[in-house]
Amino acid sequence: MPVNIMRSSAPRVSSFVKDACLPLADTVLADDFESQLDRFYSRGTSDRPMLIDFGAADFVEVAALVNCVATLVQREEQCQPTFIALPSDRRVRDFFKVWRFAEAVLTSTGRNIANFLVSEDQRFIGEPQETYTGQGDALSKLEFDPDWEPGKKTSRNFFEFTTFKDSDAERIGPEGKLASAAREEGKKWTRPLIQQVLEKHLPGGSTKDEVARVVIYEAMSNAVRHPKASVILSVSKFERPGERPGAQSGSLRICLWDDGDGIAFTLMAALREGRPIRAFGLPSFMSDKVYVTIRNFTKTKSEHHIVDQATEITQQVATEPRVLLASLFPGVTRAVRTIVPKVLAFDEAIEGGGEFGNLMDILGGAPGMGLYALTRTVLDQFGGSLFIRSGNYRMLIEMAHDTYRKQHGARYKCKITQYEKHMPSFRGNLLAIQIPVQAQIRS
Amino acid sequence: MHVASFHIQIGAISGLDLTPKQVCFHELMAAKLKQRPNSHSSYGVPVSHYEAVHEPRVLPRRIVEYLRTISTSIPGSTDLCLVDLCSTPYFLLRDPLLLELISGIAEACSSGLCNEFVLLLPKMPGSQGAFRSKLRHLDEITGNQPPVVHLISNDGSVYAYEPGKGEVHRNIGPDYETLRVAAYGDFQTRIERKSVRRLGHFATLHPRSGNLRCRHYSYFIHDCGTEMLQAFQQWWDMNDCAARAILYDLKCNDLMRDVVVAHADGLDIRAERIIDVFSSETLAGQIRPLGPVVVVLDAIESGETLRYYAEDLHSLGIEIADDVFVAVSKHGGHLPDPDVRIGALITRPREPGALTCPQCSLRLPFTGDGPERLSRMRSYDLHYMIADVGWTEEPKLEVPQTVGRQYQWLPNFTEMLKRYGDWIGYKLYWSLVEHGVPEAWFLIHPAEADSSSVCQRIYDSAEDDLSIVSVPRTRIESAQMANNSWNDILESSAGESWADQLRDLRGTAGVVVDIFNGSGSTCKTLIELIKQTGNQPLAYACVVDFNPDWNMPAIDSIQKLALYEWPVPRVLYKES
Repeated sequence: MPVNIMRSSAPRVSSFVKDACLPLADTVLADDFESQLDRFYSRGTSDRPMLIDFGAADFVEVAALVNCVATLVQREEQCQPTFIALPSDRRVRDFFKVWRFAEAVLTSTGRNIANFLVSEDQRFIGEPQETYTGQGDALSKLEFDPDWEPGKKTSRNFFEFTTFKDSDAERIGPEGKLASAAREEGKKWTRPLIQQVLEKHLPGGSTKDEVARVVIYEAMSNAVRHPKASVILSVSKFERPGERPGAQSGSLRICLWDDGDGIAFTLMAALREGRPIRAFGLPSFMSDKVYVTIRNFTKTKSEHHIVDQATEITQQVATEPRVLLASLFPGVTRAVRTIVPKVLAFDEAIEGGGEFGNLMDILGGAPGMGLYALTRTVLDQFGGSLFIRSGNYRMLIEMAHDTYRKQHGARYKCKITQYEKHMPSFRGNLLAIQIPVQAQIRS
Repeated sequence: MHVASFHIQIGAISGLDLTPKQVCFHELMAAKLKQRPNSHSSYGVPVSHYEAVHEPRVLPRRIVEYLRTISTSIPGSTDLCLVDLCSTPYFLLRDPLLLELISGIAEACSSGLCNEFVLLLPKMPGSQGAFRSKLRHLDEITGNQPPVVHLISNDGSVYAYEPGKGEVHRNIGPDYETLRVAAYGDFQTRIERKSVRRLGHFATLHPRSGNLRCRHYSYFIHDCGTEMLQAFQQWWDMNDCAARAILYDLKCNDLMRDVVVAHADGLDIRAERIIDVFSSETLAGQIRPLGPVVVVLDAIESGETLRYYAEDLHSLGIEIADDVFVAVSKHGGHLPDPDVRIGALITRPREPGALTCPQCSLRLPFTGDGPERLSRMRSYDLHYMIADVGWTEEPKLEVPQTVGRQYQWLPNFTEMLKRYGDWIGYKLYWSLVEHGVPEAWFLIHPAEADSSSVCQRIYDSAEDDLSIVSVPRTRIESAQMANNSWNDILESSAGESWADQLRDLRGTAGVVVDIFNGSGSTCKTLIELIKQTGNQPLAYACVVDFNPDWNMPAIDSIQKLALYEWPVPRVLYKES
């Protein structure tokens, strides 16, 4: 791999003025990262150098790391200089290392992490990690395999950043070399050890194989289909109870990021072209209500809506937040017409408008069902939440509390946040899944 | 009563015929749920990975079409339709596919083709997921005459959906697993299929002296984690193991390490690497009070390593239990400690011992037990195999008579594949995968014993979803005499399985497989066949390439993958 190390030209932390820094606190969540980004962009032109300062961090959420990569990619494309100060806490640096953050930066931006590090942190390149030993509970062994060696088909850390790129094509597509990516990633989550950990710690009586079959498979299938994507990153973390400051319970966090066109942007483009984005009319039992709060980034303004999943989405009502939410509804896809295959016996029945044709048309089912299946499993089955960052919005959806259910008949509640105009549109799409952990984990 | 049963293996791009045992299993299932059928139609339904993901309507549509066909030949409707997905890996059964299956059931029911369905699934989907949520509303979907649907998972759990009753949980009885295993084989069958003995120059570090001891073989087991866990759990239960810690040395079998740690986690007991206990007094201190530990190793042969481990652990105050588990047992009943009882995933004969290592004499570097270079075979390994299996003349019936002369001396490939086919098949399969294969692809080969055997070995290394097309040598020769034109031959071969398969596969990528390449003529003819049946040639794979200078027609941009190149081209009658 070509390494272009520019140690001599790397600036020192002290050379950055206050407004050029993203001074991240000890706990770095994705929201904190975005708040700092907002602050940066609100105080000057976007092309000035930026320092992402993890120096004080003692806990970094994986979604924040993904967000950091997305920011680097976006700023690299605009030739905007960006630098990183690594955590001064050795444990957190080891977390970066064992999760292969540097490799994720390299594969996404094409540049070695040394190009982004401030000069005082160049000494950490090649620093051996000593926090993770693979000793202890099953989770420790998933996080670090001391017997691992390069060339093995498995990863050293089950949860580490994995990059999907098609070496033969500029863009990823469902029919290219990454056609089997969802299957391969799903299969990884069926290995005995991760299965056992999920079976033991995730809530509910149903099989935890749903993580591989629905959560991973559908999230990956969705990412592979995003137009103009050239890279997909997946990363996850099983947070032990108490590991995240301020949180008593633990959770499984899975993030997928791609650099393709935004989800809402793609669906709105289809509507603008006069194409429908719903593959079939929803039968009543598949249609639920969502209590939606839309607010601005500073939380000074908010509005509330009850959205029925069955409501038709037309170009006239298709705002970005509305379409982003609709992407999770059953049957919503940008490819309504192209996805249904032409097979004579079946299509004749449908086009004939006969009894069975109508029935199959109503039931539809498959097109646009992936994210719906994912939402049902994450929210309804596991009681988790789904977060999407795309375009000028972020969206968090989870099961509605009893109050919302009784007062508004809503099954889900959703918060959508609009970013300020000075924030550049998010590069690509980030899907972050959170599933709560029910039992104590022995350390 | 008429029963229609459909066997679906996602990824199988040509339908897999049901075995008599599977048919029997389906009839017994019908008898359990309704009554013994007096007539039965069974079909293997092809569904490629691509279709499962991008065209999930294809599966229910094919089932409905089969039901329509049955209804034209058998008076009245089918009484019970059994959709058998129980041998497909669960994670491949996407919700969109299962949702479409419900739509297919609704259509079949509304058309009067059948109104009772059984879905055999590897696991029971989540109750709050999209699939079962939709099933609970079957009445709303189908209107007047909703069907009865039974979901049965491999653990014998049953959910029935009957009109007016909603979702009802039942149990089909303890013999379901026995019946299913009788039809599909038990975990041991798959473990054997997925175990590979590699040839190479491997070194074992003597735990005491630090000296290296050479081995010619290294074993590993792949793609059967679930079955390995079943085997280990069964061994643990049968031996009434009560240990509170497992210590392991499983550098060569990371899947076995997963299994051991998963098992320990399930029982809330410790599992650690032996080497870590030796190097960490803290860890040793944590293990010591837990009592005798179960030791799990990659392999056991002389028992020496085990003895040293036992002694070294004893010196740390840790005793080992009499029950020891290994991934590969090759001790042949000669263990120094008669009290030790060995459980194993697989048992293999003891390796022949040698006072000196010929590979060391030749100064060949160690190959290591880790990842190997898949697309190449070392000269030493090929010649070792040949020395072991001997030489023979090329079978006369397999000589391309119209092209060139018979090889008078060839390695005895038949015997080589019997003894080393697991490794050869593994290398060829993964070379092809590394080269890049699409979602759906198939193997095509001349219908001869050795090339059939290679294909079967490649299949063993793959998932259960690779289609294999065997083309009779007589047909290949006819095509060669017609200047590689297959049109007339395909017409006259209609109804022969190879021709039907190729027709069904239309649009799929094909890999030509042969035991060796002598002149390239067979390969060229089969590539033409792939093209002329509307498929796409992808690669040519063989074990030994006796004609490495022969290259594929550049126009097809097909990759040639040979494990070994040995320039002894077939003597041709004339240049072709």
